[in-house]
This record gives sequence, C-alpha cells and structure tokens, in this order.
Amino acid sequence: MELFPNLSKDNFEVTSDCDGRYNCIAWAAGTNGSWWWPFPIPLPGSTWPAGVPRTATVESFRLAFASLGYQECEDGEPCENAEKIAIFADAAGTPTHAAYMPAGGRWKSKLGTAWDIEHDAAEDVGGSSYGETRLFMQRGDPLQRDPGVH
Amino acid sequence: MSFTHYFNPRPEALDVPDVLDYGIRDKMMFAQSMTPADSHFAVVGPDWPKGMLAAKDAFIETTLGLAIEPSSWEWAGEPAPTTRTDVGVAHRFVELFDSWTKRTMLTSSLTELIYDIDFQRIIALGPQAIPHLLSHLPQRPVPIFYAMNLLVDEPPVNETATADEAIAAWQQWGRDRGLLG
Repeated sequence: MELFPNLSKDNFEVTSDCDGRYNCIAWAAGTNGSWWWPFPIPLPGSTWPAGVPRTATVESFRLAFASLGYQECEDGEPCENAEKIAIFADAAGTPTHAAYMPAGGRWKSKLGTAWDIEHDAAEDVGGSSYGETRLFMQRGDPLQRDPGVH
Repeated sequence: MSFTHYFNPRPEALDVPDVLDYGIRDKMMFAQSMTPADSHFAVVGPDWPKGMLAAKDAFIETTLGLAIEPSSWEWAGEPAPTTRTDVGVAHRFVELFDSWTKRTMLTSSLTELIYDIDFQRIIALGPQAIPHLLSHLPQRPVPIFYAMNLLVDEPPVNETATADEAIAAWQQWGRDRGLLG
C-alpha cells in the first residue's frame, strides 16, 4: 500500500532532517520546539492550547488553530494575503495531520517524527497515512513563527 | 512510581522468554485490549479492578500465546526478578525501539506513539530500560518522557518544560547516576 499515493518526485521536496521534538501540528502552528497533541495528560515537550478540549477530534483542532487567529475557509488554494492550514483526518474522523501554507507560498508538512517537506497541493499528502483534508483555515495577520520553522 | 505489582507466572509458564526474561509487567497489558483513556488510568497498583486483570490476562493469552490463570497475578511489593542479562535487554530494547520507530515514523498522534504495543513493551522492560531510553531521548523525546515518568519515582522535570529543557534535565539525571555516558 502506498503511503502517499499523490506524492511524486515532481511535486514535493524534503526540506529538513528528521526531528522528533515537534510534529506536524506544532509546525503548522508555527513552532518547532514542542509536540502539539491533545494527549489526556500534559507531558514535558508537549503543548496543547489552554481551554481547548484534549480530545482528538477535528473540532478540537479547529479550536486549537482558532486560538491562534485562524478562521475556517473554503479551500487550500494559494492566497497572497493569508496563510492557511489544512487538517487531515482518517475515516473515523480522527485528526492525523496538519499542513501549512504561508501567504503566497507552497504547502509544507512535517511528517510525524521524520522530515519536513514542501508540496504543491494540500491533498498531496493524503492517502492511507493521513486520510483526507477535513478542514481548511486561514488568517490574514501572520503571527511570529519560531526561527527556522518556515 | 516503583514497580510494586508484577507478573509472577507459575513455573510451567517460565519457558516463554518474553514474560520472565523481559520482565513484562503491568503497563503493557492493555495496549490492545483497552482504550487509551482506560489504559491511562490503569497503569499501576494493587487495586486493579477485576475487569482490568481480566484484560491483562486476555492480552497475554492472545498476544503472547500464553495460557495463564488470573490467580497467577500476585502482589509482592518488590520488583520482579529478571534473568535476562544487560546485553539481552539492550538487544530487546533495540529490537522494540526499531519496530516502534518504523511503524510510527509518520505518526503525529502522541496517543498512537505512546500506546503502540512495542512502546508499551519497552516500558514493560522496567528499570533496565532506563539507560536505553535515556540514550534515545533526542530521537523521540516526548513518548520517552512519558515512559521515564512511569519508571522513575521523582522525575527531574515537570510538564511545563520544553523538549530541549527536559532532554537536558534527564540526560543530567542519567549522568549523575552513571546511567548515561
């Protein structure tokens, strides 16, 4: 089974070494210094926005990114004035992945504990690993991102 | 937290190395038989609800191929003796860590990482896994913090520490105890 049936050598490139300190959710949220996940108990090195339910649902993830100023939008098309994120979920509706696109830029994904990649369309990382895009969000006023994140 | 509740199989069950040699203990027994939320609250203690004990037995029977009776679970107050050498533990750790890493490399879910069966087996190695966990900290720090919090009574960091802060604190903790070169 192909993990990423939509990726080919022509539509993505690896942009970092493996780093297990952060995951895709953290990276989409603008940090490479912690692991974002709604685990039931707080752990060192992990983060989840205060007040957002620690449940692995698309709604919790929507609230997490809303706490950063993101609002729902229709699609993952590039936008010159707004950065976007895409939330992926499996068939059961459990979030699996988040991708980020800077204003006017290209989609970026951190693959688990592995590499960062850039890809042409959000859906390029869909498939058996991450399921499908379930939610797009955007914000027009980019906040400060950690140095080296993007 | 200390290991105060352990698997004490009857002699006829001891020919299965996974159980005796690797010191499989409480914390691995529910990874596949309970939900993550359930298992989180079922980590340790002598006061296991009967359902959890049954789940442990079911897990052993179905996953490890052992037939045991619930009565073989005993409270003893001391860690289980292990017969495996340090070299054997190191080999087993690498085997489990590699398997866990390969299967979960693309996973962002901390829940999936922590409740993965091979990571639960690593935790079940008990205190002998500590030096190996410390040496692998930079690769997958957050799940290892979880494991260390279970294996050590007084962790040197709290949950507000960043990954880098916690890695440094645990490495210093290990060096202070001669567990990390």
